[in-house]
Amino acid sequence: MLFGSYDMTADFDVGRGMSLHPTNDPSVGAAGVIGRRILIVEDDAAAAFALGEIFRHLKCESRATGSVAQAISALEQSTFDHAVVDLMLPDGEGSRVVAYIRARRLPINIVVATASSDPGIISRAQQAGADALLQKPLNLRKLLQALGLD
Amino acid sequence: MHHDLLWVVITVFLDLAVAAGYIVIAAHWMRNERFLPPSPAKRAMGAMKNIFILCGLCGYVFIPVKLFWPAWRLYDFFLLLLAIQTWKYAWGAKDLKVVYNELGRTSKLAAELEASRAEVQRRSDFLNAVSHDLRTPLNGLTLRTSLAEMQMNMADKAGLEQSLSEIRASAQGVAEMLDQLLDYSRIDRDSGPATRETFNLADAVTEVIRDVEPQAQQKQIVLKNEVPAEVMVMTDRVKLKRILNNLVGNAVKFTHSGSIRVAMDWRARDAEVHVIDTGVGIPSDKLSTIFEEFVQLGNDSRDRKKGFGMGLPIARQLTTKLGGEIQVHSTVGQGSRFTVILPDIIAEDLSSAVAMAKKT
Repeated sequence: MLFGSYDMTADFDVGRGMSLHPTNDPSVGAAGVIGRRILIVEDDAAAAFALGEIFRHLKCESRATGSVAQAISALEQSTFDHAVVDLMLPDGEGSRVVAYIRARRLPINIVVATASSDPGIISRAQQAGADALLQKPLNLRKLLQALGLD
Repeated sequence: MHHDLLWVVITVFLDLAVAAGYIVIAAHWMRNERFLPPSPAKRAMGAMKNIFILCGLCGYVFIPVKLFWPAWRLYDFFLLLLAIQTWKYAWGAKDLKVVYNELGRTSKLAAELEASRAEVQRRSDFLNAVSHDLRTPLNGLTLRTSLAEMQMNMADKAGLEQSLSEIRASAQGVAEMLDQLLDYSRIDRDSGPATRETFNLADAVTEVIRDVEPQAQQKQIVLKNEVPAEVMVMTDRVKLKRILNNLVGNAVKFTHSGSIRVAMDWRARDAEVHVIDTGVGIPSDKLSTIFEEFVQLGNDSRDRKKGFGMGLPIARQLTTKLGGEIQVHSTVGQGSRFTVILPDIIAEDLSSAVAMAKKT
């Protein structure tokens, strides 16, 4: 499915097509994607690790942070092109990270991913200025589409 | 002054009549408002009552003033009207009972409505929390699966193996969460009334320990069954095992080294089963809430991988069904002791044998 990111027509759920397009096949490589810097804000270690590895395979740089404070200090230290932000973090709502990015007018494409169905939390993220909002469990193809990495 | 005596008598009589009317009204009022829960309506009615009492008091206080006031004869005329009106009202004050009954009913209905709203909100919060807690591990699973597909295509065998074992573990975790959720929802519906059968407690504890042995071994925690082998108890075996399973499982989750012991005390036919761990312990301000169903779900600081945190609420509900209670003593950093107190469960015919065995 990850080939969704290389082959625009491949569907996430269609496993058969994948072996036809190995990731290192230069003919389907998305050159513009390589080297993008992605900030991951996710307190679930398993999901953060998997996302980091996926981005590594896509030749993107990623940095995983597990809280609002860590995310903000990462944003202060380095620059990013994209951010994947979870909403329910141990030290507050992910909307604060979104608001921080927007307040500083950083050119970052923000995708909010949440497992919550609380309309309050979701609307706060939208108001803070998230570019896209995805419901967990994340569909990788949709995530990459939202990030503009497909 | 002599010929005024009649008027004085009339005035005092009317004054007393008015004041007595006020007293009747106030008495009705007080009798009816007693059982009314506090509400704005009650306060308003109470204020009116106070006005009446004040008027009544004024009627008495001003008697000497009226006696020397030049227009007191005219005043007597108004006083007569006031007395008639007051008594009319006092006669009708029985209606206050209706007013207060209605008020009482209204505030009861309002309270019920509020309670049912709170219940609906609680259920919706519960569903939201459950869905969040299931989506989180499913998200990890989905992403890890995507990663595994990538690794497969890149022939990264080591990475793939690691991903697969992660996937298996977290799928197992999700399955456990679902089990716990079903377990919880089943308590009320079909666990039914407690049955009574006689069985060996030590054997039951051994079975419970066997269930959690794998997790304990992974963490190198020693599980000890210290229940005397002779003890026969008469209670609901399935429910008691579920209680102990939840307590021991919980202890394993929160113990990182040391041991978990299941022991028991008894007095006559009452048993106390202890689950004693050397785990992280529970801060004293949390002790009162650990048995509440929805507290753990809403608790963002807990480790969601450890499940819904409903093991203790389930254990408590089941213990209540068996007619007992659970107590907990805990010291942060040293461990916790959960005690299931079950009255009247030691099988009678063996209680003396057990006592003998205990002495030796």
